[in-house]
Amino acid sequence: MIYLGLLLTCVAGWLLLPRDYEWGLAAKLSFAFAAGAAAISIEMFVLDLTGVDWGRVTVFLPWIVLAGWRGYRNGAALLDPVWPWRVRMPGLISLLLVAVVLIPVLVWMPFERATPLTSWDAWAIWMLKAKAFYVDGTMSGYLARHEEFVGQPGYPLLVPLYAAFLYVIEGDVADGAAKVISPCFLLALLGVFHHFVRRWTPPVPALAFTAMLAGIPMVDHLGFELAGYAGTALSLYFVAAAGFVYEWYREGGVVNLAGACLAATAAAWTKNEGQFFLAAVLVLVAFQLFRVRTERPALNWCWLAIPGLVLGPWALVRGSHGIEAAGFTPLVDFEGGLFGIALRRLLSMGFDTQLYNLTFLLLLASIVGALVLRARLLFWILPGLAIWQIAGALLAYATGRNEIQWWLGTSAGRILAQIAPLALMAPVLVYGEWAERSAATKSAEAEPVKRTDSAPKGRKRKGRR
Amino acid sequence: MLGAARSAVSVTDLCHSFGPLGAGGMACPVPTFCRPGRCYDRRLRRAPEITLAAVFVVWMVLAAPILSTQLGRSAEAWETFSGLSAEERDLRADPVAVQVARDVAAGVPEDGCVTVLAYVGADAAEYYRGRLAYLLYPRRVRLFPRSRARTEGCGHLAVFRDTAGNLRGSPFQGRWDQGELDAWLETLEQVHRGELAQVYRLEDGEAE
Repeated sequence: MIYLGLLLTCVAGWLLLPRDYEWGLAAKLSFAFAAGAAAISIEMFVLDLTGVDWGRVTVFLPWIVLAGWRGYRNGAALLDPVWPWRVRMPGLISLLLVAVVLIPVLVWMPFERATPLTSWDAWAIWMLKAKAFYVDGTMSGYLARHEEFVGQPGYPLLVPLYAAFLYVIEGDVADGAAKVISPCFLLALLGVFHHFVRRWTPPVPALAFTAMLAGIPMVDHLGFELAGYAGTALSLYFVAAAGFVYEWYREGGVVNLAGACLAATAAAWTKNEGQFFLAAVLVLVAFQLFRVRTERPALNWCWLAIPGLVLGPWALVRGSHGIEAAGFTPLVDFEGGLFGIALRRLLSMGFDTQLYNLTFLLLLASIVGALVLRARLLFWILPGLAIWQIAGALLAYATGRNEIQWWLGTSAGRILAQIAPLALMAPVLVYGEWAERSAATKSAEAEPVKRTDSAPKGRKRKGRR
Repeated sequence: MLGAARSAVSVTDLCHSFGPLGAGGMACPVPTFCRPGRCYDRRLRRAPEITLAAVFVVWMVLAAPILSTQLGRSAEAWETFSGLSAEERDLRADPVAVQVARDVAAGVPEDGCVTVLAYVGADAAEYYRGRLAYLLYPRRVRLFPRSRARTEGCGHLAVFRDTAGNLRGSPFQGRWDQGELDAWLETLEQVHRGELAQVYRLEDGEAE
């Protein structure tokens, strides 16, 4: 039944996705899972706040209504692009690269499926909440008893409430089965990452970068060995939000704007680090809304209110139980010594190829490459967001109340693993820009008449608002 | 148009066809292509693809041994756990905590509270505190690495001693008076004698 729950998650997410947006089957399924998991967790939250019991009927009913409405509105077009004859078969090199993408998944999956829930944060924080919510039939039982537990009761609820939904479908606390959500988030991460990099590079390089992402040891470790943690889900929403923000700056479009705000909200609804990320995304969105005249400005500004609608009630619920959000207060208790220790540790870990392969080295190389290529200003959004997240982690370490070496030892690897997929987006952009300019060189050599053609293709898209 | 392109580059191509130094040992002109504001070396036009291919190969070479090790771990995990029920997997992965949780669950109702006196190391105490809270939820669990503890408001007492192997890794550092504990336990009603933990009923409000 857990697998049925995962399927229903994809269906629910599919119903939420806009029809007139360009995405392939794998990308749409990935976005559907990401959207479905976030939406279902919010639905569970709202049901609990309104006093409605979590039963199969009550949880399914809104989705059945939505499915009926969308089916009536869109008919068979709702299934785009599922129809098999519309799925284009990739070439041989692409097929090989797809296989390379799947190798780490196939290597890790038996390990994840065989082992029970054994990792500390999984049962001390995320899955404990899920179990408590399901067993109590409400969030308030656990929240009222939060002082009994060693976990972090103030952490956001996407993963616990989504796992509780799976327990509702299963009718039992099947934690060993439910931790499969982490590999599912990882697969969705690969799909979403590929969706964006495919927009910035040709098909083969896009798959190559996706295969590289799939081969980052700590990303796999977080997704499979630490299944039941929220880190992989956070990575997914980071990548989705960053991709949408970049696309919105580049091309405009309400889908990109909405996607950025919703994905960043989902990140903040997943982990506290996501709230730091959300702040950056909101600043970027607000800046662009101020800067550029749009068709429906009031409606566009409304998207900025979405985070408040989700995180506001959670802050109120948390506050009513006297629960603090996290074990640190940024900027208040800052200690330079701790900052230095954390910085050295993160740098030494980040450039360890056994942990992150060449991810952070490529991030640095992409920054140099962007300077050499004189990349457009909007390029800096992606490396900026990755560096912003690293800075946020350093700030947390420098203001935390935990013993720093212990804290770094138990969390730094995961923190960087959460950021690694986001960090890999900047190298893709630089590669895309470089390849595009080289292609322009080649095509101009073949057609000398066009040698004076100035800007590469991508630049012409600016201002399609 | 293609002919024009050929003729436009034919001088440098012809020069390079004699070798890297060109005809008569003289250096060939660097083939360039210019766009407003910048010129590019035409010989580097495949550089992005070649660079990506090189990075990709290095990336995979670095990833391969790690994946190979993981393949072995996955096979081992599959061999260890496949064919077992979820409960059996839990027990196989974490035998002490899961067995203690089962022993306690057999003697304490779901809405009950249990104070656990555990002969365990300091680090292990933190672990068991969290682990038992998860495994025994919704029961209230208090765990102390000592032989005496306040038990007000808690209806059950459980006692367990960690395995010798675990104690070697995390030695006991608390205070444990077995004689005093035995004397206390003799006054209590034992409700369950498990493999690793014994559960007793406490009179509500009983202190120490």
